[in-house]
Amino acid sequence: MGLYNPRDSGDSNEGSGIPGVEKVVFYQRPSFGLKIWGPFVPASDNLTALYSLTALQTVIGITMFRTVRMRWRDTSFWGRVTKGANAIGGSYVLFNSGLEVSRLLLPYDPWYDEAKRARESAIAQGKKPNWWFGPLDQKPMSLAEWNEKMDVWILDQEENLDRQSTALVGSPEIKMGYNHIKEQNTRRQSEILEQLQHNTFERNRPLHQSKVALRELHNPKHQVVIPEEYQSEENSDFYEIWDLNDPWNVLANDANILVRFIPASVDIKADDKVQESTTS
Amino acid sequence: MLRSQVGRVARVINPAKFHNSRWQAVRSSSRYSGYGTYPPRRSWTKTMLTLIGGLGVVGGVTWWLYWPHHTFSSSVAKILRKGLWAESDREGNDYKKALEYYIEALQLAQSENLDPLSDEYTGIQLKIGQMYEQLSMFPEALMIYTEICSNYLVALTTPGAVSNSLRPHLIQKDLRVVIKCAQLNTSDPQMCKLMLMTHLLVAQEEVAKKSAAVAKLISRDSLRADQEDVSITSDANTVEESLKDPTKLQLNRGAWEPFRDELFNARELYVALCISTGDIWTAARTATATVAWMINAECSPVQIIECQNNLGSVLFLNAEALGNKISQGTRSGMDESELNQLRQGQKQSLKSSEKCYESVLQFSKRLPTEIRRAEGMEESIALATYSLGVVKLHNGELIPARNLLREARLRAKAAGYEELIQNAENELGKVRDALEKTNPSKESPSDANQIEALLEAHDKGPSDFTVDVAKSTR
Repeated sequence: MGLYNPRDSGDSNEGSGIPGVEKVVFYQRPSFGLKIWGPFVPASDNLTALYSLTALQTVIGITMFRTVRMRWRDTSFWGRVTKGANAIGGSYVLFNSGLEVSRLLLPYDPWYDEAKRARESAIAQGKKPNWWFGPLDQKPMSLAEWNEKMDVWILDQEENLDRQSTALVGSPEIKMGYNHIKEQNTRRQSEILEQLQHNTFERNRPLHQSKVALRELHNPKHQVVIPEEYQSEENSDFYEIWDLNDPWNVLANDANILVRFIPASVDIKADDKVQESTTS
Repeated sequence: MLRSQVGRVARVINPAKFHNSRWQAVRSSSRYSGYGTYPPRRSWTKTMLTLIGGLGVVGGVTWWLYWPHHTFSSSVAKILRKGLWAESDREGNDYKKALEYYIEALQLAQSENLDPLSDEYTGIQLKIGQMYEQLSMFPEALMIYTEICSNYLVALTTPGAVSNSLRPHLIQKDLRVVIKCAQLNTSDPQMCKLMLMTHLLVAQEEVAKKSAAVAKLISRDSLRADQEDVSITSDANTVEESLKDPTKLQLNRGAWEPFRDELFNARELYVALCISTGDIWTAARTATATVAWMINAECSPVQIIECQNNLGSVLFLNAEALGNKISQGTRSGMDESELNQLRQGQKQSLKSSEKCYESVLQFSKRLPTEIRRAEGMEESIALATYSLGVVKLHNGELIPARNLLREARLRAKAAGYEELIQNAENELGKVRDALEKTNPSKESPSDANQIEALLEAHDKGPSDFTVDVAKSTR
C-alpha cells in the first residue's frame, strides 16, 4: 500500500504550513490491476471511475499489441526492441485489466464497503468528499485484511447455501385473499367512476376517528408540481411531469416515519385521564 | 454515411502516415490490394470508432436497465397527464376529476394487460390511493394499498414468480405500502400487527439469505417466539457494550440493503402496535432484537439512539406490566416461587431500561460534534434524559429525578420539542407532589419514605404511555 503525501512528510512541522490548509496524508487507493496508475487509482466505491480507468487501460494494452503487429516485419534493432517492449508491456497491462475486471465482478468486495462507508460518514459529518478519491484522509485496509474478510465471507456464504436455495412458500389463502380484494376494489372503482361521471358522487365521511391520532399522516400535503414552462395540458411532456411527481417517491416519503415512545410515571392526580397519542 | 466518411479520412491519412516501404509490402499482399492505395485491413480510426460504439451500446443498455423510465401506452399516458393536471393547482386541485381520470387509466391499463406487479400499474394504483386520501375516503384508500401489497406478497411467496435480482426491490416497495396500510388502518391494530409480521418475515428471510452470520442474528428474533419467559432483557447489556465500541462489531450492511430503512421503520411500527394491543412482551422482544440488528446494518447514530430509547421505554413498560401482575398475584394468592420469578423479571427489566437510557446519554457525549448536530439528535438526547428521570421517579429517587427532568425540559425547549416539554412539566409536578407528601419538612427523603412512595405508585394501575408516530423529516 503506497503512501502518497502531497506536501513534505515530516510530522514535526505540523501547524507551520499555510494557515487554514490542513495537511492530508493520502493513502493510495487499493486495486488489483490498476497499480500502474499510482496515486490516481480512484476510490473503491467509485465504480464508474474504476470501470472507465480499466477500459482506458485495456485500450492502451490493445494499442500496444497493435504496434507490435504493425511493426511485425521490422527487423531492425530498434524495431525489435519496440516490438518486444510493446508485447511485454501490452500483455502486462491487459493481464492487469483482466485482474481488475475479475475483482470488480466479485459479489462482495470489502474495499468497496469500506470506501462507501467512509464516503457516507464524511458526508454525514458535513464534509464534501472528493468524487474520484472519496474522503482524502481515509486509509484503506491492507490486502491481508481484505483476504481475511473475504475468507470469512466465503465461509459465511457456504454455511448459508441451504437457505439460499429454499424459497418461502405462501399458502393458497394469500392468493385467494388477493383475488377477493382485487375484485372488491374493481367493483368499487367502477361504482365511484360512474358516480363521478354522472355528478352524483358524494364524498364519504370517514367512518371512524382513530384512537391513535395520526392527523398529519392522514392528510398528506403533497402537491403535484407542473413545470412553469408548460402553458397547457396538451403541450406538456407527460413523462417529465410523472417523474417529477413519482407516486412511489411520495409514498417513500410517507413511509419514512419516526416512532418515539414517551414513558410517563403513574399519574397520581387522576386515573381517568388517558393521554392520547399525537403527532409532532 | 459514417462509413464513407471514415473511408475518406483513412484515405487522407494513410498514404501520408504510412508512406514507408515496409507497410507497402504488407499492403500489397493483402486481399484489399485491388482497391489501389487504400485501405489497410483494419484502420486505427475504425478500431477506435468500433470501441466507442461498443462502449456506447454498453452505456445505453446500462441506462435502459437502471435509469427510471416508464413505459405506459400512449393512450394511458394521455389520461394520466389529464389526471396530473387536474390534481395540480393549475386546475384548482380538482381531486375528484383527477380520481376519475386515474380510475379510467387503471381500467384501460387492465384491458391492455399491463403487469400488475409493474411500477406503472402500481403507480396508477398509488395515484388512486392518494386521491382517496385527499378526499378523506380512508377505507377505500386502505383497500387499494392492501391490494398492492397482497399482490407483492403472492409474488414473493410463489417460487420462481420473481427473479432473484428483482426481489429486493419488490420487498422495498412492499414494505412501504405495508407501512402506509398500518398508518391508515387505525381501527384494527391486531390485523395490522398480523399483516406487518407476515411482510416483515418475507423481508427478513431475504436478509438472512445473504449471510449466515446475519441469519443467526435474525433467527434469535422474536416475531414468532411462542414461549413466554421473563428474562428478555439479557440482550440489553450486549447492546450497551456494542454502542461503546462499534469497531469490534461485525457489520453487514450489504445484507440489509436496499430496504434497510423501510424494514426498521416497519419494525418500530410493529413495536408500537404491540404496545397498543397490550402485547408488551412481544414489543420488548422485538425492540431488543431491533437494536442489535440496526447496529449490524450500520444505521446512523441517530437511528440507533432513537431505537435504544424506544427499547428503554418498552422495558420500562414491561417492568410496570410485571408489577401489575405481581400485585394481582399477591391479591389472588399466587405461588411464592412464581411471584419471586416475576419480581426478578421486573427488577431486571427496570434495571435494563435504566441502562438503555444511560448508555444513550453516555454514547451521545462521545459523538463528534458534527454527528451531534444531526437532525433529531438533540430531541433524542432530551428524551433519554427525560425517560431516565421518569425511571428514577418510579424508583423513588426524587432528587435525581427532579434534576434530570429539569435538564430534559431545558433540552426539549432548546430543541423545540413541544410534546416533551409538556410531559416534563407533568412529571415535575408529580415530583413536587411526592416531595411534599414524603417530606413536608423539606429535608432529604429517607429510604423508608422512598420505598413507601414506590409502593404507593405501584397500586395506581397501569401507567401513561405516549406513542409518538410522526413523519420523519429526514
